[in-house]
Amino acid sequence: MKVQPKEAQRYLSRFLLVLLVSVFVAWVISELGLLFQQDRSTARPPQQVELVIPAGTAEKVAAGEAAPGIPGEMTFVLGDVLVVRNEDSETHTLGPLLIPAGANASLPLNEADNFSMTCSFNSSSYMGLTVRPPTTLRTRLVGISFAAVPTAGMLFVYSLLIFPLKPKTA
Amino acid sequence: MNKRLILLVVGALALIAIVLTALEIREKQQAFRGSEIEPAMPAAALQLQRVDGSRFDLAQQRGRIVVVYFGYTNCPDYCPGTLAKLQVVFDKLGDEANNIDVVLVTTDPERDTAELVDEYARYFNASFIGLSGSEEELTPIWRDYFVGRQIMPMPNSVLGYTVNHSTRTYVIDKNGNLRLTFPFEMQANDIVHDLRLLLAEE
Repeated sequence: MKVQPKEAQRYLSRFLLVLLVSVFVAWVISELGLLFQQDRSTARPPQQVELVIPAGTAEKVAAGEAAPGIPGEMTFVLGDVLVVRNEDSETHTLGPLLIPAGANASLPLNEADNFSMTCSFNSSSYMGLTVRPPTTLRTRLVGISFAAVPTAGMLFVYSLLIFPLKPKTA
Repeated sequence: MNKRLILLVVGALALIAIVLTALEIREKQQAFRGSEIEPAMPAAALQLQRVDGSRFDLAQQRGRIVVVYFGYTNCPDYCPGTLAKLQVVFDKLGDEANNIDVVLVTTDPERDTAELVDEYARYFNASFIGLSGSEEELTPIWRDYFVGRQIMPMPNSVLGYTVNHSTRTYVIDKNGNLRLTFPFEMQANDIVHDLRLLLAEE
């Protein structure tokens, strides 16, 4: 069976129309996903994140109290640099970091994972660090394109079953 | 005339883009990949007897970079992993490594004699230095370097016990300042990068 050029053009037009619809559907799903995303802190490019250990933290931790402004968990974007500024009079540690009193120590976060690090400035002695790939415009566009193409394929076949292209009579 | 002007503007914009990209790449290359301590702090004293009878004194190592790791010879994982990685680093650095000392300080003085630690360190690289001492000598060093250390009894093992210890690697620059710490997970290439930056400093 030979497909005439005009017939092929009609199929191509149908596919392009379905692809357009698929891109729109994938974009709507992507937007809804982002809207309902629990933690939107990764919807940004990598940056420097500063954590300050306030003065008096060592005393508070020794007394079993929580130091103000020190979270138990932190979420980062892959490529972030955590800078811990020690304003306390004691040296502190966070996993591989050694932060002398009055100094900063930085930790580039180049691996996406969940880390539990020993922490001298947290009353629980531990701090959880979660490193996630960033949700940037580029990653969203890649996601939309990955979703749109197979969706278009399926919709195209489905559309041909529901609305078959009838051969045009001369 | 208009065409020439457009070409000139496009050329200028391209040049600016190239320069900005080059500057950004250069800035990224100059940043340390380990944990940098700012401002750099004078490293705590580290003096212990060497196996040849001489005394290792960190204060006497000015002009050289000293990489310090705290561990023990019966360690099943982190210590051999770190020393093997430092050996790879030395291989990659080649002659540049001649200005770097790697020092292993024991966290298990009960079992690790000076001879044993030194032999263990040299197993990885002939230039590595292993140091031990009495618990009285080592305790202030562990304290000043914030080395977490915990004896874990293992009654059903021939080892008897293991020593849980912190796994950070300390880097002291040519001026005797504690400049960097490396996490255990840091890749050899990143360590080479940081050590080269320190070697290039005056």
